[in-house]
Amino acid sequence: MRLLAVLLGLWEVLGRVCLTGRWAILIPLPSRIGEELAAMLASGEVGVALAHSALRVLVGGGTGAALGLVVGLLVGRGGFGRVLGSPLALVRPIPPIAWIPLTLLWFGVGELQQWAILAGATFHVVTAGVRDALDRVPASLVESAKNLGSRGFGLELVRLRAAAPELGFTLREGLAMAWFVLVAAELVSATEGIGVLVLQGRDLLLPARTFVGMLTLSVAAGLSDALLRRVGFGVGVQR
Amino acid sequence: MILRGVRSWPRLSGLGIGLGLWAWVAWLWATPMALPGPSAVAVTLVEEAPLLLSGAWRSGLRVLSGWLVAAMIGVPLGLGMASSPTLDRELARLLVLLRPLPPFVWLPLVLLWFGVGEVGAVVISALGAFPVVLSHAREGVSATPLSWVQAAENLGATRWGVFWRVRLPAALPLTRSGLRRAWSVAWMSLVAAELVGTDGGLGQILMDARNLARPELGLAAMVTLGVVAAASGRLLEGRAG
Repeated sequence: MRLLAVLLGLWEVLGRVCLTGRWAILIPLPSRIGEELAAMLASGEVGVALAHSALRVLVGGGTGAALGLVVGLLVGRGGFGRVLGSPLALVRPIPPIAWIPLTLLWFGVGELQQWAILAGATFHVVTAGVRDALDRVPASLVESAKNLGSRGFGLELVRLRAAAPELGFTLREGLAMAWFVLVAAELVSATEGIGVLVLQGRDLLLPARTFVGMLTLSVAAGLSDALLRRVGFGVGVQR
Repeated sequence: MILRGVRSWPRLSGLGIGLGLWAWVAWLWATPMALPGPSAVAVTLVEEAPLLLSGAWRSGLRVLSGWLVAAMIGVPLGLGMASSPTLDRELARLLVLLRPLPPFVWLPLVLLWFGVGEVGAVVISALGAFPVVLSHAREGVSATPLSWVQAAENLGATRWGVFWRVRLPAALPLTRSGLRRAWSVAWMSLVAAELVGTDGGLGQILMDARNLARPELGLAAMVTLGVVAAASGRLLEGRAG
């Protein structure tokens, strides 16, 4: 924390001394950012933006994660599942960001488009993660279960329970991806949300707002991940 | 990706199913604003090849520059951080704050400060690649098995000797994988930058496809992007791993 305080102090002091004219507006001082943060919190702007973004992550990311879980489990079973997985491999190298213009064309500007982008991004992360998680289940475990008489659905349950911590971790990765992509999606389509706050820094020539947006995002993503971890997702997975 | 599929029957049939599904959905949903079929996209790929290739080239150069900058700063810094506990402690706290931030949040500021040209694009892709490179390099050094370090010290190595001969080589695999991952993050960051404001490159072609209501160009650009990003990633893997 010392370093952070020192850096902020340096920023403030050097900024007051060196920044003039155009650059005084373009680079906000920490004090200015603090003011803006307080003002925006008071006026509720931060809260509204956060609510909009969080809802998007929940709906879009949640849908993508749920679908990803189902498909990932199907693919992970092997055999016919792998055939299903191959068309997905075609699409995966394309970064989710690249889908933004096309989805705008198809869905127009609106929540559906945002949800589509978030769902797509989360979906790919989760399917890959689920597949890896299932692959990581030790074969010896499955063999012993078979020896003890497990078949069919019971056997699947064994695999699932063994893979559960990794699955939880994958869902958290999906959440991180959702927050990651959210900003890009909001930057392009400029509806309400954290991305809009960030964008206003440039559009309204109030760069302090961008920093407020960044702080909000940092807190939101960090808190949601901590929440999931608290509830037990991915506990015990070393990465 | 496609070449590997030739060797395995399920993969090939999967790809075939994928393409078939695509063509079928395109045929069903037959309105002008809809999903162009594989054939339409293939035709566009050929017709617009000069545009797509020059866009890919421009984007690729930007990604390469940004990635190199990130590597040149991130690797030494990461290695240094892991070797100096004081530096590590202070910087690590700072990085925790910055980690969840996608590189895109810097876009408006970077565009404001550096404009819509090459500099801004390179800065963004560097900003995207940097945290990945840094954390992997740092972990690489931390992951050096203690026994190796102790063995070296027992044999009389100095601190510098331990670093140069034991920790550094041990850190290489993780550092390499970090560099590879950073490559794809750099691509993502750059495409986003080109979507939002930076001129030129594949991202702008993607946006133009939307503005001109030409979904087949958009899909062709996406295919190009996917292929270029994946191929360059493979190249990187081949060279460095």
